[in-house]
Amino acid sequence: MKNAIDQSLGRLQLDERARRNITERIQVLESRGCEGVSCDTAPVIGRSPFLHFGRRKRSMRVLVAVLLLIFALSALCIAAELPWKFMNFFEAVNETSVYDGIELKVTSAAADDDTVMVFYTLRDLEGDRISEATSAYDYFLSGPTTIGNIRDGYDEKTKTAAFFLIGDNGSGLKGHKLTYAISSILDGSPMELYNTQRNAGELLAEQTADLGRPSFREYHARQEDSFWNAQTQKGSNIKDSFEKEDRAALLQDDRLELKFPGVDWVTITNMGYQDGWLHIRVCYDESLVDLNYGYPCLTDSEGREWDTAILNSPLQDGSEEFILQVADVQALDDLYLSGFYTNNKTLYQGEWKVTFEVTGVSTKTIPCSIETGTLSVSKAVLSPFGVSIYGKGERTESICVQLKDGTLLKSESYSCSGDGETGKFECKYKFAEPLVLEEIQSISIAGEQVDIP
Amino acid sequence: MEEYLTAGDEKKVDLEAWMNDYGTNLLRMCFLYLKDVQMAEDAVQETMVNAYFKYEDFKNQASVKTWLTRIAINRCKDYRRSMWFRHVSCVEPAELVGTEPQWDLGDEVSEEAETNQKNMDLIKAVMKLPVKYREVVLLYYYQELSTKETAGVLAVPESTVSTRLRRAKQALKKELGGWQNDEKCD
Repeated sequence: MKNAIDQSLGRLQLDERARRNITERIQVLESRGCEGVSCDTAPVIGRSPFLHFGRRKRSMRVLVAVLLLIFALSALCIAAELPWKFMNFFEAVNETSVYDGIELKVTSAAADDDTVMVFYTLRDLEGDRISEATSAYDYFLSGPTTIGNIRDGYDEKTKTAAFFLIGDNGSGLKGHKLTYAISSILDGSPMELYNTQRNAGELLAEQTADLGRPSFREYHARQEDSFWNAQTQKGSNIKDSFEKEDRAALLQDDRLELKFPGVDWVTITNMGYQDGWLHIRVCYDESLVDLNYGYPCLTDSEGREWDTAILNSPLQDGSEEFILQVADVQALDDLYLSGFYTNNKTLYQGEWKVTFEVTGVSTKTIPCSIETGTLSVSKAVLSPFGVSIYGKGERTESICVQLKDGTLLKSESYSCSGDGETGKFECKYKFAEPLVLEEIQSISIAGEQVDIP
Repeated sequence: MEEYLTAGDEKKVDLEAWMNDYGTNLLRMCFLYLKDVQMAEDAVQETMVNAYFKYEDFKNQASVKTWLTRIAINRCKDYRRSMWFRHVSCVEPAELVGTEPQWDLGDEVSEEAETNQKNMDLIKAVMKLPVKYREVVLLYYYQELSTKETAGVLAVPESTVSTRLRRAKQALKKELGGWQNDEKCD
């Protein structure tokens, strides 16, 4: 097995860039005079914060090669909005794949050179395994580098779930065979707010946990390798200072058994309060935890989440201790213990694969020679779905399109892929409405205007 | 212990040697665990940084490899548990998590391609395993730890490791239609 893995993942190596990142991070920490893990609060160097959004699913070998090149991706927020404005560009596909009585059907698709959009459905031909909460879990779309996959709806009558898939930063997508494949399907609920209906102040008063405060080193002697994760933006802001304060998970045992109604896999097993922080110990059902995620929170009397910093520390026994900042313990008297959790229960595995071809929309390629000192652009490709820019250097977050009637359109989102070593990139900028290529007079990139012939 | 200390400076760890000896190996293990290259790189970076600063606490109770593996696998677990964080996006969260199976996209099958395909099928099958089985397979077969060392890394009884290994092998056999692995003895 070792040989098989090493052969197949031969290109995945701890390369010079990764080594440099490690060395630089250590230098940063040492420069702060840190000698121990409690000082280890420097952020991971070289991390691409948005890399995980809309990740592409494809052949592992190709994936490894491609992902190593990706240095930054914008969140595919645009994927959250179904492309009704683009419906005229979709072509019927209606190709199906059936495995174990579940049918994958690609109903229609649209593509330009680097973006593909796909509508597809999942239907159980034999039973009731496909529900409103079903989603593709492991999936793969050939071609694009970034991908988003969202629910489109559910037909109770036919037990059919519909989805929309959008992939960006590919190349030569239109007119070529594309493959959409799923290897597992998840059935359950997306992240929702669940309320225990228990007053947090009362719950805390019932607990008798002695929050003795072991030193950070003492704690780590018992729970080596645990560390604080920031679970909210506010948590991110205070994570560093929290670790420097020598904080540790305190709730070492289970004294409570409180479940969120309807969520079988999460149990609150202890609570305590110390120095402005509410500690909550959470245990998980081992058989379901891999399919789910979430975190506890506090809600007000109207069920709204109480905005505060949340940190968590995964523990060796599989449980987690969450710490919520509650400066005034009296505030808990007006708050309820709640949690945002997914509720996935089943994973169906199989092989569903549909190959299809999309003629695609017309595009217009514009050679450019933009040089701003920090950015160079060599090519722009216009399509109804947006404008793709090929260049090198500092990417711009938005571009503008000037129409012949004087209207100025500003891009609303973008996604990029590129080579972190050379700085080369390809970015796709999208607009609120489909672009009509004949109406475009010019585009403006980083203040440089390019006339469209 | 002296093996990884830079000559002339007892407190200075030979980080280069760690990265040379274990870096890629840990990266591949983390990738198979997390199914994500970037997260795997992050996990290895945190492993090396953590180990660098905690080397004085390392009492040679295990080999450096086992020790680093333990830190790395715990980092991977932490990352998995914190996955919800990256799901706070406009995209449905569950759909962003997944393996990268090798799909049969070509018609020509040479001998080398067939071997590659078998290797990929094996990797695909390993990545499909539930985490508790996947981790014992990665530690025992890929990191080549003993069942005792694997048990130490995972903080579970050795008997649990043996049971999980047996079930993992059964699952792989079922998935691959008869798995002939290079069996190893502790």
